[in-house]
Amino acid sequence: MKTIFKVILTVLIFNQVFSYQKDISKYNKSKLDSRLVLFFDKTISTSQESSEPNHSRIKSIDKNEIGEKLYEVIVYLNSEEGINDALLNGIKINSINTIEKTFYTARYSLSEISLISQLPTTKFIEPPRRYKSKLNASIVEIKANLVHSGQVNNTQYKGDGILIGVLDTGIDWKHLDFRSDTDTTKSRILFIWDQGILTGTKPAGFNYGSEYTQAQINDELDGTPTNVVQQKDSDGHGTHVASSAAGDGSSYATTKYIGVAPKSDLIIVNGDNGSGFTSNKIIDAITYIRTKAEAAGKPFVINLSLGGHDGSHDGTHAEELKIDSELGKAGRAIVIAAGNEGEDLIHHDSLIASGSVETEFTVYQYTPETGTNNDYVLFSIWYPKQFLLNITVTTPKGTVVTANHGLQTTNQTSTNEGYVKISNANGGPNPTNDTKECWIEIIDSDAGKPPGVGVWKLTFTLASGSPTGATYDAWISDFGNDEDMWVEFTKGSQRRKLVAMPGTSNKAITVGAYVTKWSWSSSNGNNYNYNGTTRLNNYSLFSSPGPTRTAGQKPDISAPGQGIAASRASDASFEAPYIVTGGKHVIEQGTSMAAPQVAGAVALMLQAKPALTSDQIKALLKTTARTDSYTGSVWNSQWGAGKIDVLAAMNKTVGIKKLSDYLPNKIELSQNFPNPFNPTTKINFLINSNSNTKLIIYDILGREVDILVNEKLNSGSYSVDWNASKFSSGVYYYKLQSNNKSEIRKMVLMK
Amino acid sequence: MNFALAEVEKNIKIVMVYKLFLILFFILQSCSPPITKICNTKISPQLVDEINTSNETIFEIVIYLNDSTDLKNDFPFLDDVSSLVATGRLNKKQISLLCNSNKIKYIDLSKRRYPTLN
Repeated sequence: MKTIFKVILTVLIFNQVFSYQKDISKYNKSKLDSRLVLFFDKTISTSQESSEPNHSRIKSIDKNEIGEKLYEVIVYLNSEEGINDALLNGIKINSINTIEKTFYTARYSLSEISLISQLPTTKFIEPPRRYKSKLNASIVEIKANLVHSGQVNNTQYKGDGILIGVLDTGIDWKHLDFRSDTDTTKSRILFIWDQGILTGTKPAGFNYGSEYTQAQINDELDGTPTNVVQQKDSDGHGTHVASSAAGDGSSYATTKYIGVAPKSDLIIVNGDNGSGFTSNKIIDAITYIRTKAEAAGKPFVINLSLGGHDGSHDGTHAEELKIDSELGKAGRAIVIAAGNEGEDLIHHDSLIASGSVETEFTVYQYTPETGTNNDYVLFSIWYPKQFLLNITVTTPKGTVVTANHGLQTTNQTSTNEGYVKISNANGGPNPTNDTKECWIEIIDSDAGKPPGVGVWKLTFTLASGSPTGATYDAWISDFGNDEDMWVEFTKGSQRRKLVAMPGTSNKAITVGAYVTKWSWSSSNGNNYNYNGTTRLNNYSLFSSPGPTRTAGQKPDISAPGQGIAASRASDASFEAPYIVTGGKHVIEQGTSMAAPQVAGAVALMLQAKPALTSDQIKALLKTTARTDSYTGSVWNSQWGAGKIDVLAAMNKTVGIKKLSDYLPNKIELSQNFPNPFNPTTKINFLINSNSNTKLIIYDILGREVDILVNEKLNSGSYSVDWNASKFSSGVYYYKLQSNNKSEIRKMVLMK
Repeated sequence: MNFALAEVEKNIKIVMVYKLFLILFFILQSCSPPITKICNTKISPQLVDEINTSNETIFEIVIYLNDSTDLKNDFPFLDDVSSLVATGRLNKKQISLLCNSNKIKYIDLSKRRYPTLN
């Protein structure tokens, strides 16, 4: 069997070499750019098309249907007849200089270049010059610019017809980056709901806040009338986030700071009252955005660049249940930042084999606030319901406060170092997840008794009658004053389970951050960079790693989140070094900046396929994510599935093409073509009824490695491409499942 | 005359009894059982603590549901009702009313989240 395979392979290779010599050796040297001449000569002498270095103008970017490498070229003509000559010879043309028809662009194999060079109407052929992008680093990094330029399906996907909802600190609705590209007196913001302004019109269905419509915003923009829209983004976070997802960059020349879905429309909810967002208002915001999108009949994606650690970190809190329940229908997705606690020692977990376990946390030197109830440390602790734990807090000066299992400290226990309150599962297991919860509050209920500075102890003791082998997870869920308080575990802390809620929700797409920019030019003329050794291409140290408390895979994916330049809110103040050239954009960092880029990518995917479900979108993003030496093997708790690749995700999104409505009498899976292949191959199949259809790739060990189709399809003939660039050489199987029938075939990837 | 006086006395007695009832009613009202008695395990200890110790009269809450059917009709003071959860900015009395409903599974104090800006 092996011998037969080798013989076939040898014949194939011989044919390939022979065809090169046959076809390309006749090329007309005088009509080729010198770089192409060198490349042709090298290929003929070595019988192999070598890979050119990255800076070369000759780079293969794809393959044609018979597996020949394709190169981008510009063909200059002696006359317009050259276009017909090319077409008559069966050679496709990409675009023609329509005014004088003196040149055209194309993607040709070497044999096609050779043929074209021999045509009398051809004047000259050259490879294109390569220009460095002037776009912001992250857009290029995630390849959104290539999707904008039409590299997928010959369509410029920019988010047309898709709504992006942003719950954040508001938006600078006057900013040029959020205007229509055809009329700058018109906004792309359809609605703003400011949950904190009580003087305006309340949105339908809600009894608080003020709603502003697109018409009102447009009136403000054209000046008739004004002073209606009162919403402001005095923080600047929301404007930056909305811009990364949907800004069109038009406030600065060359649209350098363009967002990922620059033609999408926006629905904005300002939910921050200066002290964060509350989960009830997050839930309300999601309902509001969904209602507006449904009324408009448009697919939508919601971005939540927010999070916190008060809760069980397992996807069962109210806003997480809400998120999951909203994502049951097609055409919806919710993207959430993973959180920025990657360097913060706020989590501790342990096993209590017997007796007790003691950990320590430190309250560092700080200046207490004047007044009461404004200096505090909060803990959120969770353990399985079958265990009985007594929990003790010991202050730096030795005062001991204990809440035995099922009880709470009856009154606030006054110490000289803050009032300590412990509620230890006194309501029984929390019915939302059937897990026991303990919360601890150390607070200055007396102005003279703020939380004491120094090392505190937290002791977990198995109570009488408890099974042994108890486990628990403890988070320092919040601490602070308005000044300088810092609290962390200084014994037994582990860098895990730090993804913030609601990023732990099951169906949301949770996004970590990595570095694409370490230095930048400020509008003040100086260059700046982050402190320390550059971490370009590596994960951002602050990016929260997973998994969830119950070992759920979070984050899902990573996106650029450091050194991100996006729209600057005019009502917010920023330090000069962070304001970049032009003054309309500002540098920020955080998983807050990574999430909206993924939200923008989702908008592009929904534009291509509005009926995608949230699960499908997540699967497409994860299976096309890039991996490299920085990410290591995935899934892992830091990177998720790897670095987002918008181009690959979009290619896979539009990958399945309906060829005809032909109604076969059974399902049929064709042999892939070409085969063997490297790295792309085409798979055609027929399905005979409208049904849920899957096309799955397995490796030789039977492990599922990729999903090409997982959706409801109508009967007909389909084609899908598989790009195996991230897989190693070998035998793979592909299986078609539809209407309770399946077929399987084998293919060979040869690199 | 005697008859008229007797009528007046009788009316005064009725008014007095009525007033007594009113006073008793208000006393009973002000002595309503603590929220933990009404809500038992349906309310989170954190929310109980907030109700008992803070100066606030309105509490931002999330409500886990057994059944969302007609809940907005039953409790029009709620902000939002979805299949699994509801939200509200409620006073203590409204929270107590919710606890009496079989449609309510659990009531928790709203958690605080922050912008994930580093």
